[in-house]
Amino acid sequence: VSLSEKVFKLIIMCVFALLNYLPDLKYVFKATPLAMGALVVSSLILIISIAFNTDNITMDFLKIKPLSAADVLAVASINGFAFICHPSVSPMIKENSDQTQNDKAVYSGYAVTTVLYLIVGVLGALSIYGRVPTMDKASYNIIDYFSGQFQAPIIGFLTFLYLFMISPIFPYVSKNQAIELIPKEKREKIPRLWLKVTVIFSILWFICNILFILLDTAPTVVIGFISTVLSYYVTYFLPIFMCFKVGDYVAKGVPQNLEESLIVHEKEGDIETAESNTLMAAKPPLQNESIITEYNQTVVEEGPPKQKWLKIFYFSVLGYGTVMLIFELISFFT
Amino acid sequence: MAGLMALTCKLLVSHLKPDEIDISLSIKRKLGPAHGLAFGVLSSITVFLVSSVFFLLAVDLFYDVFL
Repeated sequence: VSLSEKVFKLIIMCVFALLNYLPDLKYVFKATPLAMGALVVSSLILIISIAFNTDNITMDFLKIKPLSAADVLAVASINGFAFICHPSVSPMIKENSDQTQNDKAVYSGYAVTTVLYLIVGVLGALSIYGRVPTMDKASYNIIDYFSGQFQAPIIGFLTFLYLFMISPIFPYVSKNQAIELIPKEKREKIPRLWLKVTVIFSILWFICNILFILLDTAPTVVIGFISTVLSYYVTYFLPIFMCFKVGDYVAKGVPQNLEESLIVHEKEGDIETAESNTLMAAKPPLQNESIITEYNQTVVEEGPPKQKWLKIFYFSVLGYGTVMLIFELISFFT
Repeated sequence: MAGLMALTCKLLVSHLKPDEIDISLSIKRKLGPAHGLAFGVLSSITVFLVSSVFFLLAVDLFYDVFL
């Protein structure tokens, strides 16, 4: 990579760094439909490009290719990493105007992402199949496969637009999570905390990116390992452990007043008991007091039938996640 | 894989209270401070790295398109 390219990237980095100082995400949310539109259009152009690549597409495309352990790890890490941010940024659903639609928001977010990944993964692979990228750098992107063709500037610009408009979300979330790590009483005593955290974040962000630009490398190894461990902890372990711990396997969400009335605080903490949450999840539609008492005893001791199956299902999901983690760690270290 | 991740993400989100701005708070409330801290640190680092990846990819595309 030439010196001029490195200098250019360092200058653009200063522009991106300004996005770290956005006080909220209201402009980002306004720009999100435009960003998604840019992503969808660039995906469509990728699909249209298949028509210009018919000479290279043969039946060989359908054959299963042998993959090395490193390849498998890379694919598994990218897959895990593709979804890893969803739990981290999901509290943004509080921006929804209708809070009863939060479940739909989570599922539709995953559905849209998965469909886009599938389109770009399968049809995008067809559009570049047999093409050779211009390999004059350590890492290359999709438009290196379309060097000199009409698709390159359009896909490049639209993808850049998408990345630029979405990128402020991540510093915002990361900073907020870092602030939450500071105990509340200490947080209130620190003047201009938000600005200080933003400056620290920006300095670390600068150092990290300068290193990657100057060393002309991509942070794939670091991210691959972290995402492997984190995806297991956040995606499989934490949510399922939380269900087992509080005894709520349905997790449909409970009306605030009902939850407040049923919460039993422990003496030394604020951890809700399994009993109260099991009762909350069950929500018996019964009127007779004796029947309610009997029902509650059954719920506390055994749980409703639906929860038993969910318990088994979550155990299976946790088992699947554990096997994936072991497999990925073995691949990583060998 | 996406379906399982959507399900577990929904499990985390459904435990959020209206006044909680982040999942780490509900994790701290439900599972204790150790898990809240672990999630906060790991998630913060990951989102930081994602921010870096977004920038590196964007600037790479920008250079290829315009220069």
